Amino acid sequence: MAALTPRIEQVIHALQCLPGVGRKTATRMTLFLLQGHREDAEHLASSINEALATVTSCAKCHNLSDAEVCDICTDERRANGQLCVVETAADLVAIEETGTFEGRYFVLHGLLSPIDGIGPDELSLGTFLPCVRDGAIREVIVALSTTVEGEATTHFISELLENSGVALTQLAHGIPVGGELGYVNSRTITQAFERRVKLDS
Amino acid sequence: MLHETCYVLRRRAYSETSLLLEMLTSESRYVHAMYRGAKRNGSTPIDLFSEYAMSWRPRDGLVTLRSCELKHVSTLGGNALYAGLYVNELVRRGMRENQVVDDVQPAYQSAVTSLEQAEADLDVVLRSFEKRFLKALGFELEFHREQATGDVISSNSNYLFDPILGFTKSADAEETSYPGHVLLNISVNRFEQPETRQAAKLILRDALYHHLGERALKARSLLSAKQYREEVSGATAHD
Ligand SMILES: [Zn+2]
Repeated sequence: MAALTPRIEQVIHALQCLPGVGRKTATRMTLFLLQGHREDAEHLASSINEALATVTSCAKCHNLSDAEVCDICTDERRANGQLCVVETAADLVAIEETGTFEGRYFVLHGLLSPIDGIGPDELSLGTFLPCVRDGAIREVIVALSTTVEGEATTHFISELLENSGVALTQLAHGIPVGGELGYVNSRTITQAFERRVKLDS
Repeated sequence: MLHETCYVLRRRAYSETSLLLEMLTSESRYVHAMYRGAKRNGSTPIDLFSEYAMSWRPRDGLVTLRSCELKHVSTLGGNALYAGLYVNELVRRGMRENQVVDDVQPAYQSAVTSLEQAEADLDVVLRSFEKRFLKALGFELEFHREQATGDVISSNSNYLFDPILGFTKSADAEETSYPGHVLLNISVNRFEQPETRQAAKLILRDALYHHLGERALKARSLLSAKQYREEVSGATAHD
C-alpha cells in the first residue's frame, strides 16, 4: 500500500509481535497513535524504554521486578511458609488478582519440554531448592498446566523435594466453576471423577 | 480427505487460538498440521501420548486439520513421562516433515503402551524402542553377528563397537570392549542383567549420536533427574 511510508510500515510490523495482533489491527493502532494521539504514542514509547532499562527478573522468585528482589519477596507478611510454583508471570498476576494466596512464588518461565530444547537448566530450577530452603518453605503448591509438560515438571519438582520434609500440593483439577458438564472434555471429566470430594450431609 | 489416527509429538502456539502440531500418523508419516481454533472453548485439548482421530486434505507442506477427536487418553505418569518425552524427541530428530518411515508408528505405539503399564521397566522399553527405531530408519544394528566377516558373535569372545563398522572381535577384554554373551542378550531383548543394560545403553547411544547427530538429546537430562538434584543440592548441602 503506497499510502503507508516505510517508517509507518516499521511500526505496523513491530506491533504485530503482540499476541492476537494481526496486520489489520496493527495498522489501525499505528494510525491511531500517529494521527492526533502523538502524546500517547510518546508516553507508550518512553514507558517501554524505561521498563526495558529497569525491569529485571527477581533474583529470588524470577518474577518481573523493578528491583533486584521483588516486592512480594521483600514483604515479610508473605513469609507464611508457602511457595506457589507457576509457569509464567501472567499466571502469577492471575492468582494475585484473586487475593486468595498469601505466600510467595517461584516463576519457572516455561515447562519442561525437551523437544523444544527446554530442560531443568532452561527453567532455572537450579535455584529452586535454595529458594525453598532460604524461605523456610513448608509447603510448595504447584499451580501448573495439566498437560504432559506440566505433569512432567510437577514430577521433576516432586523429585527435587524428595526427603526434604517439605509438603507438596497441586491445584485441584476438574469441572470449571460455572461450566456446563456437556462442554467439558472427557479427560477432565475422568480426572474430576477420580478427584471428587466428599460433601457434608 | 484423509482420516488417520495420530499421536502429537510437539505442539506450539501459532496464534491466540491456533496450534501448530507435529504428529505421527497411523501410516508412520511425520506430519506438520495447523489446528485452527484449538484453544477455543469446546475444542479437543491436544496433549502428548494420547491418540486422536484426525482428518485433513493431504498436501505436501503444512496441512490444516478439518476434525480432531480424542480416541485414547494417555495415562503416562511419573518417570514414564520422561521416557515418553525422550521417545518423542528421538522420533523428531530422526524424521523429516512428511517423511514416511515404515514401522515407526507401531514401534512408537508399542513403546507408549508399554510405558503406561504401572510396572514398566523404563530402560527396557527405551532400549527396545531405540533398536527398532534405528532398524526402521535403515540403520539396523546386528548384535548377533560381526558385520565385516559375517561371523556369529561368540559368547566367550569380546567385541569392539563402531557405529559404521558394527562389532569386531578384539584380541583381549579391553575397557571399551563388550563381552559376546552381553551382545547376544541384547540381540534377543534380554535386559535382566545390569551389565547388559549398561552395554545396550552405551552402544545404542553411540549409534544414535552417529546417525541422528551429535547434539545431545535434551530429555536425557530428565532421565537422570536424581543426578540433577544431587548436582544442584550438592553445591548448597554443606551449610
Ligand atoms: Zn521475587
